[in-house]
This record gives sequence, C-alpha cells and structure tokens, in this order.
Amino acid sequence: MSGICGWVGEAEPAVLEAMLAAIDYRGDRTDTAFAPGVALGYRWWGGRPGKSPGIHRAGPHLVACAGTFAPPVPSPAAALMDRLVPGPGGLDSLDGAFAGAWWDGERRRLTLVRDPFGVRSLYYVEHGGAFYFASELKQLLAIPDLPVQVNPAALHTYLTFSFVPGEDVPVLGVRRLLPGRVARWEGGRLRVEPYLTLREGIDPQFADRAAAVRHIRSRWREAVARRLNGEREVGLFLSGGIDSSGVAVWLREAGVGVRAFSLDFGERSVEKPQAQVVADRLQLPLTFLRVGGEDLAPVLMDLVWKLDLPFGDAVTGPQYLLGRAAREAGLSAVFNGEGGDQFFGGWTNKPMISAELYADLYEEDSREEQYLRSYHRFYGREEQLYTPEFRAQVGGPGQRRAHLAPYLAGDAAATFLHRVRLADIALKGSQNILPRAERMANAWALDVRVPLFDRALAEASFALPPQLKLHGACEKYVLKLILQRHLPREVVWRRKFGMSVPVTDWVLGPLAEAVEELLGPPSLARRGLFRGEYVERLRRGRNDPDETRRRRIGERLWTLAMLEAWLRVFLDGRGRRPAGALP
Amino acid sequence: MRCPACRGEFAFEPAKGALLSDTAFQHAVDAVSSGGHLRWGVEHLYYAACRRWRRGNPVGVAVVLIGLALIGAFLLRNRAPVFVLAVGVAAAVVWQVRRARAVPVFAPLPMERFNEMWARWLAVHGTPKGVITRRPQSPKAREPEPDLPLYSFDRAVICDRARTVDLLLANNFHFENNCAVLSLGGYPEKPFQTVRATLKRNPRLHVFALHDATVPGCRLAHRLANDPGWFKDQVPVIDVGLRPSHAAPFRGLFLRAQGGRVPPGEGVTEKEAAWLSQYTLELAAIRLEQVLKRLSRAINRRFDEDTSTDGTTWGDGSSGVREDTESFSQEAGSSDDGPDGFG
Repeated sequence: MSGICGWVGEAEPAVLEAMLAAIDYRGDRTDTAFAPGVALGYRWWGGRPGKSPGIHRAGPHLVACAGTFAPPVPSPAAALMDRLVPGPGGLDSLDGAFAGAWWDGERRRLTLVRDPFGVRSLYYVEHGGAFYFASELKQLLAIPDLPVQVNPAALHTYLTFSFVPGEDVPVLGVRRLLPGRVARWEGGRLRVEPYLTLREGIDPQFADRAAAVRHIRSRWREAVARRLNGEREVGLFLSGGIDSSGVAVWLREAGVGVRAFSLDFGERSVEKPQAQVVADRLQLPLTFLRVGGEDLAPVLMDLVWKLDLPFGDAVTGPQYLLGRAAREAGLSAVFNGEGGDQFFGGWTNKPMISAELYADLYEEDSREEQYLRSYHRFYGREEQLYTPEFRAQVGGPGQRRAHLAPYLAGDAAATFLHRVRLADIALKGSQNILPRAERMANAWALDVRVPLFDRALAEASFALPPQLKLHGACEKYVLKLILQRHLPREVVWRRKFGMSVPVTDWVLGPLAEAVEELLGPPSLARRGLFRGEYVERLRRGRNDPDETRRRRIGERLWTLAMLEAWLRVFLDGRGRRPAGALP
Repeated sequence: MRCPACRGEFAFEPAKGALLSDTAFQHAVDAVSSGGHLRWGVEHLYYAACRRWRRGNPVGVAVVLIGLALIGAFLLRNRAPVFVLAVGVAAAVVWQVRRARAVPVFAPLPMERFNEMWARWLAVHGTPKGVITRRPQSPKAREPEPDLPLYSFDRAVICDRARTVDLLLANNFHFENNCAVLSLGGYPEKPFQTVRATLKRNPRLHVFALHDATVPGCRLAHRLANDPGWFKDQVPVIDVGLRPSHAAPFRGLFLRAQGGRVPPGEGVTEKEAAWLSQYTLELAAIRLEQVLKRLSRAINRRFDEDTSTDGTTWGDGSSGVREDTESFSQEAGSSDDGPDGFG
C-alpha cells in the first residue's frame, strides 16, 4: 500500500527522506512538503486507483493520506480534509483502510486519523522538541538520534496476548494512535477522541430472522462491492471456512475476476477439500500453496521486519508466502474473510460462556482472567518464564486486565456475547488480525481488503440479537443462513475445524535450528528476559502438565522466537532492513 | 520432632512406625499436582502415596558391563578397537537404562492409616497448595447477563461422582474443551439446571460418561441413554470408562466390593457383573495428569466428524451407548517423561 510520515517542529529535511526510505517497499513514488515548522511525506505505488496521487495542497493546508476509502475516492488526501472539518456528518460514515495527517497552516494544528478498525497504523513520538508521526515504527526509528530502548511493560503484554495491545509499543516513548480515533496536536499538546464507538443496539425488527438475514446479506454484499476499485481481477485467500467463502460469493456477484489461493499443510490440512468444493461451485481458479516450516526459514527475518511489531501467531508465515504467490500471479489486491469470528460469534465465545456459567465454584475467578487465559500464551506462567530481572521491570498488576475492563464490564453492551465480541474486536481484531494481514500483504505490494470489518456491516451486526450469532452451539448462525442459498450444505453447516497451522511440527522440526539460534542458551543469556530451563523444556517438545494440546508448544515457542527476532531487528538493529535470513 | 536444619516441625516419625516420612509424603503431594500445576483432591493423594516408582539401576549395570568389557579386552589382548567398542556399547546401554520408563509398583496403604496421616499433615503443615476446595455458594455480586442460558455446549461429560466433576472443573477442563461437566446427581447445584437445559439446544452434542469401576458407575451411561431427562432419543452416549476392562493395569489398587453379588443388566454384562461383585476401582487411582490428558483426547478425537469410525452418528436423533475402549485402556503407569503420545 502506501505510507506517510512527518513532524511538527524543527528537524533536518534529510530526516524525512530517511523516514520515507525506511518503507521503500511500500511504493515507487514519493512526495514531500515542507512549510515553516512542519514536514509531510508520502510514499505510494503510482497508478493504483483510489490512492492519493500525492500530498494534497490547498492554500495553508497540507494533507497526506495513506491507503484507500470505502467506497473509493480518487484522492483520499483531498477528501479527508472535507471530512475532518467540523460540521455534521463528517466522520460518521468514514470507512476504508487509511491513515492520514492534515496540517492546518492557519491554526497551526496537526490532525491525525486512522480508519475505523485499524487496517493502517499511525505511530508518534516527541523528540528533540518536535512531534514526529509515521505509518510504521521503523520509520520513527530512522530518526537519527532517537533513543531506542525497550519498553518491558509492552513485552509483558505481548507475552500474554501474542501481540501488543493499546497505545504503548515495545519502544519506550513511542506511542500508537488507536483505530477509530482522531488526534489533534496543537500548542504542544495532543488530544485524542474516538469518532466511532461500537455499541450494542438490538433492533426489535431483527427478532424476525428473515429480516435479519436480508439486512446482513445486503450489508455484507455492499461491504465487498465498496472495496472494489475497478480492478479487472483480485486475489482471495480462501480458507475453506464460511467467512472467506462468503466473500467469494459476493465477489462473483460483483462480476470481478477472482483468483483464489488456499494453504496446503500436507496431511495436516483439514480444510483443503472444503476450499476446493467452494471454488468448484463458484468456478474460481484455485491455487493451493504448499507451506512447510522449511519454506519459512529463509524468509523469517524479512517477515519479522515487514511485520514492524512483534506478532506471535504463526499464521503470519503462511500469510507472507500467500502474499508472495498472489504477487507472482500479477495481482495488486487481495480479499480475505477475517472478521467473521469477531463480529458474528466465533472464538472466544464458547470458552468464555463455559467459564461464566461455572464461575466462582472454587475461588473467585474474574472474567478478565479467563479471557486472558484464552490466548494460551504465558498468562499465569510468568514465574516460570520470566527472569527475576525482567519480572522486576514489567510493572504492577492489573495492566493486562485494564485492556479488557471497558468491554467485559462496561456499558457498551448488556449481553454477555456482545461484551466478549467488543473485547475481541478491539484487541484481536484491531491490534492483531488487521495490522498483520495488512503488513503481510503489503510485504508484496498488495492491498488487503477486509470486507467483514466494514463499518456499516459492523454496526449492523450489533443490532442483531445475539442468538443469531451463536445459536445453541452453532457459531456465525446468520452468516450460515445467508450462505445456504449459495453454497453446498456440507460446506455451510459442517462443524468448524479452524485453520490450524502445524506450528509445533515446524518449531520442533524444520525450524528447530532457527529456534535454537533465537532461543538457545547463549541468546537467552544475552537478552536476559527468559529462564533457560522453561524454554529448554519447550524446545524439547514438553509442555506444562496441565496442557493437553500439543499445538501449545509450537504456539509458545513461536511467540518467544518472534519476540527475540523482533528485538534483534528493531532494538539491536534500529529497525533497519536485516541482511540475511537469520543473523 | 523437628527438622535439624530448619527447625520446622515434622508431621510423621517413621522411626516410631509412621508409614511414610514427611519427605515421602511431600513427594506424593508434588507428584499428584504434577509439580504444582494441577488441582487435586485427597483421594488422588492417597493413590499417589500408594504408587512407588522403580527404575533400572544404572550404576550397577554400568559396573557390570564395564567389568565385562575390561575382562573381554584383557582376554583378546592387543585388540584395542574391540575394547573401545565394548566400552561404547556399555555406555550406550547405561544411557538407555537411565532413559527407560519408570515402572509403577503399587504398595497400598491402609485407608484408615492414610486418613490419620492426612489429618496430621494438615494440622502440622496446613493445606497444601492446589487442593480443590469448594467455595460456599452465595448470591453473585454481579447479575448474570440475560443471554447466557440461551447458548449450548459442543460436548458434555457426565460423571457418577461430584468429586470427579470437581476434578475437571477446578482444572478448567470445561474452559479448555468447550465442555459441560455435570454429575448424574445434580452437581454443581447452582448452575446445574441452567447447564442441563442448554444441553438440549445442541442436536449434535457429544456426550461422554466418566465414572469409577463400580456398580453405579458402570450403569451410568445406560441410565443417561435411557432417561428422557438426559439423552434418551437425543444423542448417543459414549462411555469412556472406567469399566472392568480398563482395570487390569491397576491390579494393586482394587478395593473390595461391598454388597454381595451384582446382577447383570442395565448396561452391565455378565462378565463385568462377576468382576464388580468382587472389586471396585476408583478413577482417582489413575494419575490425575493422565486422566485429564486421556479424557481430553477422548472427547476431541471424535469431534472431527458427525459420523465417527465406529458408526456413531450425531444429529439424527439416534441414541444409545457406545463404548470407548481405547482412551483409558493404555498402561496407566506411563511416565510423562517419555513420548506420551497424546498429541
């Protein structure tokens, strides 16, 4: 896609060049604008419709906007200013995948804005009397004398969630603007406010199932149509599950050419036949991409660098390789089915409901603690994993629960299911699924389009009674009701498996050498975060006695390995492009 | 008596006839919780205390083998490579023996003596960490959300005993496996009606019966499958155990049956009735870690299809009992040090 950067204050123009150079893979064209006390930069791929063709200049105003709107406009940068000027409407229906900065030269005010759910990112830091901002962390690290020190509290949350939630990032002093927010920097102060707050608002008309099905069907179809930009052909990551299959249905109806890609993990692939059935029914060309751990070893450091932040879910490896395949097929945009679980009642509803029905039988459980356990990383295992030195630096109790309380105990919803949905959307969706999908696609100059995170569709989903999402034990019920007209019964109504990356096989097998390099005793001793004994046990393929699933071993090792790799690239290496596969 | 090093009071005095020392008892406590990771009940501790491990003696074997190698080398003289080879073989054998799985030997303790020891341990050392303790139930501070009773579960494990339910719930089994856990008798009281009502909402519910090898336990699956309040004409019930067919590896831990001859019927075969007339075997006799792993495997294994390889189908109203003869049949003493094979 594209990227922006800049500052308010005084800095050398060469710094802007360095910040733009740090994301050279995000475009072949650059534009810069300098005015007293401000600088803006923009990088993009020329010739792609829907992208700003440069920095927008209008009198005292400068606007740089990365990404696209939904529905598309010729220049998001030009359109953004109109939206941000106070007045009715403005940001009410604003949607897309974008991050923008508007400098009002009259008021001497910088306004920053991110898309509703966080497909594109914005980071900022105050340094040397200037306020810097950029699309990627690596751009800020390119500021020559910026101190780069690790933020231990952010590592602590990463180790629980497998991503870093909230406004903090793992580098001290750098912060992140949250999605669906507008930030204004004026007079040396930053004020942030949301322009989108999801709330439950159940509409009685949707007690009528048919009405609900009609409504969601049309929103979902529009969500796909709004993300088409006149391309002749787009890619689709077809997992075989109903979410991406539904997107395939609407893409066909929209009349655009679709090339589908699906993952093949060898004998571990449970969803492969499903993907084929869907592709056959919709007559889509389908390419299976065989992915094994050995395919990831040579690209691991580039993957980490492109991710820009630590992400501990091994799905990023296959996503990276899917992106490469789509690029080699000559595509410039890919669709996916991410969001079905978050909005329409998938994971983590069931364990949370179980926990809630059986709460407080033996000791006082909190809903927040159970939710943290559902990430299946290191929550509750800090004593085993952390060195005493690291433990002393991560801060006091309650930090992780604080991320959850507004959703799990707040008043934006009255039903349990919607409370858990709100938490999943804000955390898993906005801080994990969307940014990593965007970065893995953009590693290969691909735009990613995520129709299930469409704003109007999202708002409509919260007007539904929750039983249309989880119907007994049937997840995503309303989506299945919609799709049963379009897809075979056995695809729509089968039990869900969930795509399972065979990460344990990989880290104990073809990636064992890389894991040893990253998590062997010398590396652990140097970094000083983790206890050797615990990591050694995982590397030998042994998990804690209370773990029954083998895949937890791989998930945990991958989370640790990715963190060490991230630290090498971004802390030790200041975010510069890594030289080889593995240092 | 006090420990010379730390001056802490001892609970037991083996010199004066205690069956176990404090150290041995503490080992049992560590073993039952798998090093503090699991929640457990005193019944598991009893069987842990009855279980001793025997390994091959590496030092003895090594001495013998190296001795043989030296003698062989002397006799063969000037055949240095042979000597080296012999030492190499000896080293390999020693290494293998050290790695070999430990074998459990059961030395049953008299139950009354154990209960006395447990009471003494609590008095001297306090309640160990990880003991499952039921909280007194009081009205919750927070009103439950109105939608919670409307959903359902993918699976249910129904037990013969409340304490087995405790074992699963306290170890978060329901959370990790999307699984309702209830006892036939209505435990846990507070959520029982709500949870049981939710089970009717999933026509593809997978139900598993988990029980002791006792008369009521071996009749559990049959009762569940024939009771319209439970699963009659709804879904099949899979009996994962324990039945007499699972009992062989635990020979030293059988208890004497009370109550005379058991008639066959209500899900109990003649052969089973004969065994149950003489013996019972508690689920608690199996190492706790194994119970959780095996049960998890048993309930997840069948989950991939609506029709499993034994012909059990879900979702079409067929019911009745199926037996899972595999999940609890393997040799229960398997150490978890070696390949455990549970995925």
